[in-house]
Amino acid sequence: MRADRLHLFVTAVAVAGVAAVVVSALQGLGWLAAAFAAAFWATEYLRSNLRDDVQVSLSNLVVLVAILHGGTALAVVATVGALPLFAVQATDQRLLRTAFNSGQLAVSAAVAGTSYHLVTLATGASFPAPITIVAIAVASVVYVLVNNVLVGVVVALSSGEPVRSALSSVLQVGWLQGPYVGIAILAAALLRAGGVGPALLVLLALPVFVARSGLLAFQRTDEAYDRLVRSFVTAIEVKDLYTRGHSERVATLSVHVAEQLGVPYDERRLTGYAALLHDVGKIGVPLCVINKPGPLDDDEFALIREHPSIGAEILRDIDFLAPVLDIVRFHHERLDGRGYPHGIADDELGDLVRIVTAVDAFDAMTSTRSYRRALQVSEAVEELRRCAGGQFDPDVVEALAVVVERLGWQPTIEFASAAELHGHDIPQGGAAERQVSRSEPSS
Amino acid sequence: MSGRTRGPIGHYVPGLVAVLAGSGAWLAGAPPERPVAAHHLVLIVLAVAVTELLPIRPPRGRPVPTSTAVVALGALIGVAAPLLAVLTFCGWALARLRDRAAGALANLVVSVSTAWVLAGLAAFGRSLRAPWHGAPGSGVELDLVSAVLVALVLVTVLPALQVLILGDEARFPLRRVADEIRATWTADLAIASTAVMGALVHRPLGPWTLPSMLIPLLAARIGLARFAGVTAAYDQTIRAMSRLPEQLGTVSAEHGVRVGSLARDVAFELGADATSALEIEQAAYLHELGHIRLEPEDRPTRAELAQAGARVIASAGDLDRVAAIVHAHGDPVQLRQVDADLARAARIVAACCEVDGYDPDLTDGGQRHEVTVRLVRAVEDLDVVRAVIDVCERRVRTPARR
Repeated sequence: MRADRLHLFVTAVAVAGVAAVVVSALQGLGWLAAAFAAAFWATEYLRSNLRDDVQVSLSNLVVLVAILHGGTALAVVATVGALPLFAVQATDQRLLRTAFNSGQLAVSAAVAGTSYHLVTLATGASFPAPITIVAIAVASVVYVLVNNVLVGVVVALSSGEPVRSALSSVLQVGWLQGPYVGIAILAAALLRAGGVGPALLVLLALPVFVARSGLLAFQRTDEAYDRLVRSFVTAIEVKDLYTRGHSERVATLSVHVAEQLGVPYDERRLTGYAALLHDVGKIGVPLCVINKPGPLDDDEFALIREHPSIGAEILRDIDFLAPVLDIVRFHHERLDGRGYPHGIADDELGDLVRIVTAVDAFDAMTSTRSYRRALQVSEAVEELRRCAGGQFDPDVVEALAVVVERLGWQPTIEFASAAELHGHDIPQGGAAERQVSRSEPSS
Repeated sequence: MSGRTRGPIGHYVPGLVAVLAGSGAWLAGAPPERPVAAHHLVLIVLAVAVTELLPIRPPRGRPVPTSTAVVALGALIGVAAPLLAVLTFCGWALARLRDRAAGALANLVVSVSTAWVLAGLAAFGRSLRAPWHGAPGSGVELDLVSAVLVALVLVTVLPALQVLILGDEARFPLRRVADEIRATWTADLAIASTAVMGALVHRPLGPWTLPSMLIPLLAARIGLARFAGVTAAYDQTIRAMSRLPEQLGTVSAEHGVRVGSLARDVAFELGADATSALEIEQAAYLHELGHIRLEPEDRPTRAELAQAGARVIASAGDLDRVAAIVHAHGDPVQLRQVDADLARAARIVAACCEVDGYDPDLTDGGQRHEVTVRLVRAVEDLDVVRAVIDVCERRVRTPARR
């Protein structure tokens, strides 16, 4: 059903794009069109990643200069320059991707050009009259809007992400293309003067180069940050056979559940990091307590109870995580206020905390621990449903059920539990925390 | 950075030199072919005021004032040096009505002296008569030598003035200037090219010139702010990770953070460039990380801890040199095998760790002697020992600057 809607949408955009290009090409633009198409190809070739599945370029500059210099037809034909690039670079669904990307660029240019002419129509003024400056600013906004809305919709249709969330995350950075209309105005004024030649390219390239190098550096640092956090989490988990990979799994599932619940992209990303780091405070709990087979005594449980606070303390100075630090601090709290360490309840627990709390419990139940065996996925989901309302948010539990079903999630059974190895009675895994024995501490 | 102190007048000497140089160039230079339109003068003041409030912030390095794009445009279209300095002052004063930032006077000195140099050199460039004109009647024109001189000032003189006027007195000022140029040259070049484009078309575009120039610059500012944000997160995460060993009770509270801060200052004291100083600082933050991989009851040696910590750091994939410094700082065998720069970095970390653990009172002659002997034994590098002692002494004298 979703695939059908995606194909229908892509076909509609592609057909509209082809129609715009054909009508424009009939106007016979010659070498000028070839030069603009080459410039468009160059800016698209140098595009950067906006997020995992969306890229951004400054090709809008070329479109706006083309509108000012030669009209809508020139702008539409210029977008054809990117066609071979899309065809070569697409790694999967080549036809679909090429058709959509080429079509949406041509449509965006056509709509932007038309808006420019509509604004200037009444006065008949030519560039650089003030009304044309206003008109090109309007065209720039229109281009960015049409371009980003089309991309947002296709992202939503292909990933299942809610349209509103996809649009907001694409527009959040995509709008930065808009202000480059200023450079387009300067460039068009220079082109109109004539005789600038290659010097114009250098002048234009410098601000564009800086903008692009900033984006690339952002990407590189962002990836490096991701590797840094994961490597530290791995280092912390490596000593504990039973929780190895737990944080990574909780992060992955939490992001999927957040997506299912329509959480915007940036918040999902932050949730992923907070989920990855949610157990960082366990570094302060002795390994013999974490790996103890069987129930914990009061002192041992007191140590375990402190790990969310320790984690929040370790991460307190990372400004970027400040909005989601509550995930680390409250991931063992319950809706009924019987959780730890603070015992806070429903109205104080944010949506993102509820997501990670449920996913954390789900992963704990579906993995082997020192004190019990893993449950099957269906058993864990049933256990979560049983505890929904008191311990977990029912909406989150249902979203989690949908996600694990869709992903075909499997339990993590890498080891026999220590309890099993020691011949103890094997407790049944449950959503409740580890049992606390009232016996004296064992030596 | 904990720098040496300098009198308030001493800070402004580079600004005075810039104004004198700009005045000389302006007196030797030539006026523009046509007078500057009055609306440009008003717009320059307004644009300086707006851009003063919205500098471009590179991830590491000083903020680049986007107001320099406006001032550079003023210089290129032929505003006289004293007038441009006055216009810059007026814009700055307008901006201060909204934001009375600390250190504003020093920023004003940088802005006004930069305006003076830019206008002076642009006038000098015009006297060499290398004008370029667009198509007849287009009104597009530019003096090429002026444009080159303005670009050079933005990329080299502006960062130098910022370091010398806004920064602490450093033992290696030229190296600090080079660091600053390296950190900001792309942003400065973008500002220069935008100003040149604006100057070229200021006649046909009239009052639209400045908005056309500034809107993309301010958009680039937002893009760079995201980059700066993730870089800050990276640095803060490394600092946060330095607290992990503390949770095991094997290291005193904030030891990693203190050693990191001290090591950075010592690195600068020894003339390290910004990149090397950052690596040394990161290594110092993380030098005890091996504790999280090893069990305290196994009583690991210093070398084993250093090796284990290095392994964790190397697994991040982007911190190989930091990992190598951590490995060498605690492992004498490794220290002998690495290159001289890396060995120096490792010794800085080792010395800072040693001095933090001892926490001597350097005003006491006996303790000063004792810590010197301990450091010499620990790191066998007299330059490092001297730098550590000097930085520690300076911190005792000027704790408020930290």
